[in-house]
Amino acid sequence: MKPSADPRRRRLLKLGLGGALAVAAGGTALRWLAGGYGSQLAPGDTPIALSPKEFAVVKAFVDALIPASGAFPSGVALGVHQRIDEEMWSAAAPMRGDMKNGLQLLEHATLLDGFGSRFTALGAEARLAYIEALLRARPGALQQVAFALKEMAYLFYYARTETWKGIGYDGPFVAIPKPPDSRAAYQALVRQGSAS
Amino acid sequence: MTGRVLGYREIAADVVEQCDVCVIGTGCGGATLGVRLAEAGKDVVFLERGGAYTKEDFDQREDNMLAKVDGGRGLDMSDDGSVQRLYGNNVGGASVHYWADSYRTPPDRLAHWAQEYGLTGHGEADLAPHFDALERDLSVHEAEPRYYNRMNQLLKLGAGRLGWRGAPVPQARKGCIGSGYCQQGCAYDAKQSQLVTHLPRAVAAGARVYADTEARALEMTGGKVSTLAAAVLDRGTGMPNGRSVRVQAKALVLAAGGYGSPVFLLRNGFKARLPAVGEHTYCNPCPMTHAIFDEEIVMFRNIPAAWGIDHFRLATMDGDRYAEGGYLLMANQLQPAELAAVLPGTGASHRALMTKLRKLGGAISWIDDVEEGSVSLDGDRARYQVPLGGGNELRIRDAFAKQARLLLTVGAKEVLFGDQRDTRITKVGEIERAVRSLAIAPGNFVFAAPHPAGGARMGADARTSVVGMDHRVHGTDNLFVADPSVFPTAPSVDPSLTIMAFACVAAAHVKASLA
Repeated sequence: MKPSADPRRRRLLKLGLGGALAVAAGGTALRWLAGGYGSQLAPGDTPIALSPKEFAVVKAFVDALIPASGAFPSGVALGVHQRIDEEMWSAAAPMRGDMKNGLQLLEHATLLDGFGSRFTALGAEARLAYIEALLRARPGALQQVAFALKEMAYLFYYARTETWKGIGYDGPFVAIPKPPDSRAAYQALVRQGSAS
Repeated sequence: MTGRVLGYREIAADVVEQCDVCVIGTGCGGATLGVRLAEAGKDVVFLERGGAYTKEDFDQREDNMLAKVDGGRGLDMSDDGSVQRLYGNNVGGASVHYWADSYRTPPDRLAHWAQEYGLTGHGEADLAPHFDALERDLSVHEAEPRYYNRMNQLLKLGAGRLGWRGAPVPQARKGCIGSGYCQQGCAYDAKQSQLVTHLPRAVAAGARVYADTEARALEMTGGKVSTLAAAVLDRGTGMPNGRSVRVQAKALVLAAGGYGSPVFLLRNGFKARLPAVGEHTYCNPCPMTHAIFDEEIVMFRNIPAAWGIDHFRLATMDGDRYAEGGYLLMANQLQPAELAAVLPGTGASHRALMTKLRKLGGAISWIDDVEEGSVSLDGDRARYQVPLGGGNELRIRDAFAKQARLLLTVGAKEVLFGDQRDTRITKVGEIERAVRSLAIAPGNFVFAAPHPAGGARMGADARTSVVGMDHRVHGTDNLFVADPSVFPTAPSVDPSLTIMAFACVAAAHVKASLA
């Protein structure tokens, strides 16, 4: 199916009442469609909390949302997708479960919405158009997934020193960062994952 | 006993504590109560789910500090995703990340609680001596003009032009350098949080603080709590590390906060005997409006809310119909990454906003919510319901309108309402239509909610309330609650000082129960 010119006019999944349940059920059911994602991981990509498929959806989301521009590196270049995996690893199990189910659904909802391909297989422009359409659509569970991903992506991107000069932020007065204990625990798992 | 603070690295074996008073939570309620009892010679043990930090741990990096001091790392939401539940998860509780706004409870609200909910012992005259002491201990004062950042200057200017009443916001600070990192924990110990005020005094008086320790199960004999069982959490993984802390106390005080205490009671089966547990909740959802100016605002420096507009604190009615108000109106302060998270737009449009960071300002309101929420358990999962319709929606829309009017009055070139459809206006004449078109709905907005209240409200009747006027849970001998979950409604101002004053009253009752 050929995508229409204006994604906002496209028929989008409208998951209002019971939307969260639909995400849960749909996400669980879609997990069996997991083939091939592991082989697509780039060097340095080491999902710990997310499956390779869920990780790929996050990475594709970040890639579309935060492209490189001028002095600004891309979100993927700054590892924002890996940072979201870290956050999901640290999150309470129910929240992590909600997000994992939402990512499963996001990957395939594009097909139902007439984009002709899975989310991760779309070009960056089409992915961003789909994200914008979800965010602007009538409230529903998929919109909440997109909203949460967007919030985390921008939070972790602009928390990075590399972005500060471009936005005119002179940064903290405390010179030495002191990461939380969870960072070291997560990075130990990443090192183990990279080595295996 | 020698006072000390122990974290998961120091709790090397299972612990059994026997004491006079065990306090669950170390925020404004727990710490204020605990220090009074410890200094009165009582043997006090605190349990705190979050970690123990000092100013050296507060590195002013937003994502690092969210992970250290914010419950749920800042990502906990209401059930439909419309409200971000902000609460503390560290020794010192939410006072470590709060803005230090320190209002006395307005007399009209205390009178309302007395008249409508039958509260006694918590009136203006009862609380006045506690407010006096708290303001002295926390160095509460009005900030000097040099602490007003440009956004606060404009707020004051705009209020004057519009004829809206406002005043300096009382601040709990001492030696503030105006860094702007209040929400990330004060690296200078200038903000007078519980971490640098009541808790050190309690420890000096012999109190023991077990950090990284999650209170779980009450063991009861009849109406008496005999033992509290708690699990020690590995701060790296957030999971139990196998160590336990068991506390046998003459009195147990629940002060786990407005979001935490009702859930603790639910998990311990109190709903069956006290149906009001988890009901009648409030959270002050916060609509915020962003604005682009021609001049530099630099909203991320200096005191967040040095001056505030209280003109609209009480809602006014036109006959039976809501007219306006029901919120405080403040200058907003967000550090860059958190601002980026809440700004509308994606891709190039979002980046265009961020490159204007130094010229971005904004306003925020604490909605004095009138539609009650609730919290319930789904298995072990706590589900928070926060209604945004009805009277809450009317107040949210009016707050958006007033914020926009104020920002345009003081020179904003463009006002953004922050919804996902990215509604923007440039003229006062556009406000009414724009605000009417906003969908106040999950997914279109996320409202921060830093001031939970209710869920274990105070009252005389066990059928409609959870604690009595002495803060004791109905039907128990020695279980007390000392945090905002006992409030019948939200207090209509930032609640920290109200929580502390109520905790002072609770401390007196706990002390009397030990006699």
